[in-house]
Amino acid sequence: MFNIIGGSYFENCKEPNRRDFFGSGIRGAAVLSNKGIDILFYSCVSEKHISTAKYSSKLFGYNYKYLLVPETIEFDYYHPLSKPFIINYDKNKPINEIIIDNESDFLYYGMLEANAKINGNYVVYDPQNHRSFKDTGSTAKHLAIILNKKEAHLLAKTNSKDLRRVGNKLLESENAEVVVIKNGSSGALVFHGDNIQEIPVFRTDRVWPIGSGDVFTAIFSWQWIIEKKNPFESALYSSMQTACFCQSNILPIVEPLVSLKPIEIKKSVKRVYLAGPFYTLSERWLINQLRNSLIDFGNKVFSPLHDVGIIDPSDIYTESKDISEKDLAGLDKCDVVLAVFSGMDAGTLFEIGYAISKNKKVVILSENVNNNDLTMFIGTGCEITDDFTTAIYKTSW
Amino acid sequence: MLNVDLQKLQPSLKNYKINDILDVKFNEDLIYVTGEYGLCGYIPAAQEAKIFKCLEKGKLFIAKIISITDISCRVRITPLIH
Repeated sequence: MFNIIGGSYFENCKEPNRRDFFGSGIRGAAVLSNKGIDILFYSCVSEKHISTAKYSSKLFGYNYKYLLVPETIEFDYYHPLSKPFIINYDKNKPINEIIIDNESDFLYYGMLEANAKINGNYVVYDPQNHRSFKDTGSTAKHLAIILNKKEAHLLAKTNSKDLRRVGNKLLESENAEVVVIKNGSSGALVFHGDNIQEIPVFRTDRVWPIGSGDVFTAIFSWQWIIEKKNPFESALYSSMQTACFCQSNILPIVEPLVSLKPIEIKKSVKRVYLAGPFYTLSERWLINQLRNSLIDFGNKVFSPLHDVGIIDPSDIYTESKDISEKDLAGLDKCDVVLAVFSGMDAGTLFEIGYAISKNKKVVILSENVNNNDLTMFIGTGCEITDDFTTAIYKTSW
Repeated sequence: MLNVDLQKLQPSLKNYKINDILDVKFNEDLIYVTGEYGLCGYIPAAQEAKIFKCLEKGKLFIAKIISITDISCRVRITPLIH
């Protein structure tokens, strides 16, 4: 029996609009549901949603032990890269304690409303709730910790930009055999003994990132614990399978007919020119969201709105020369342009054309646009998407 | 009206194309989408409760494929109006 511990949460997203019932735990169980292993899933759910939880277990085919809590937790995202509002978190305090007394193998995702104490054999632990494995009161004979960059900094109690230092510190402080630090669009770093290896991400046409970290951890646990692959092979396969999930958002994962290609791990910060109209509140809001996400992904962003400013309409003839010079200088220095195409603003079209003439990579976020208007942009090799998240990834790759 | 990505996709997926109209059915407490080539995939949790109630009352639904690839299938579910 393979044990999975983790959350069962509703995940709501406005753009694109969808409502799912997954959470890390159910997603992990769903990922491994077609691997020929018996799964026992431990989680929490409210009485109101126990029938939905049972539906998931029947759909994917795993056994479960649910602890009833007052309210099921929900995550509300405006878009997949926005910080979620967590609903019903306070209604589940104090945190429940789940004690599991068997020395078998575990895939363990930290939960918000419960702490599980285990004494496992092989354990893959994904903190999620920023609690270290030691702080859960658990033990493992063989431990792998998988976490994102932010969690790694928190648990290692350091702000060091050198992830190699952070990972080595975690190996020691957590007494782990393996540490994997996931670094978004830049891939992952795997630490095992004295060896460190970079793992690439794989390019996809679309990117659905919610739950992608859960998928990576689940596949890693299967490869490392069940298939006995070494941590580097396990992480590479996990990255490839995660890309399949990001492309389709379908579980269990289906591999595409055409194999995905790894992306070269970037060694330097990418300079992005963010083009788009900013005449209205909604346009400025979008530019601001794009800029924040690009910076979160480790890019250096030149945004005319933020770095040059808004022109005074009464003084357009005297200010225009200065603004256009600064914008063109920003374009000259950039590696890639991310352009908001909706509305087909004249300034943005000019910037795209200028960037193409300079052989710059151009990514276009295009919503509500007639396909005929895209002819020259498709023909000159621009990468075009109607999805906010995909635009950020394509720009960052 | 409900747009969903079908989960647990089945091999017959490859026979379907965009704009195909499929049936929404339930069996053994699971709701699935099926057509002339057989079972395509399942309705995920979170959407299941409201459809279940209607199916149990004898209401019928159809699922129109609005996007499909070799690894994904998104359908729009609407009540069948006679």
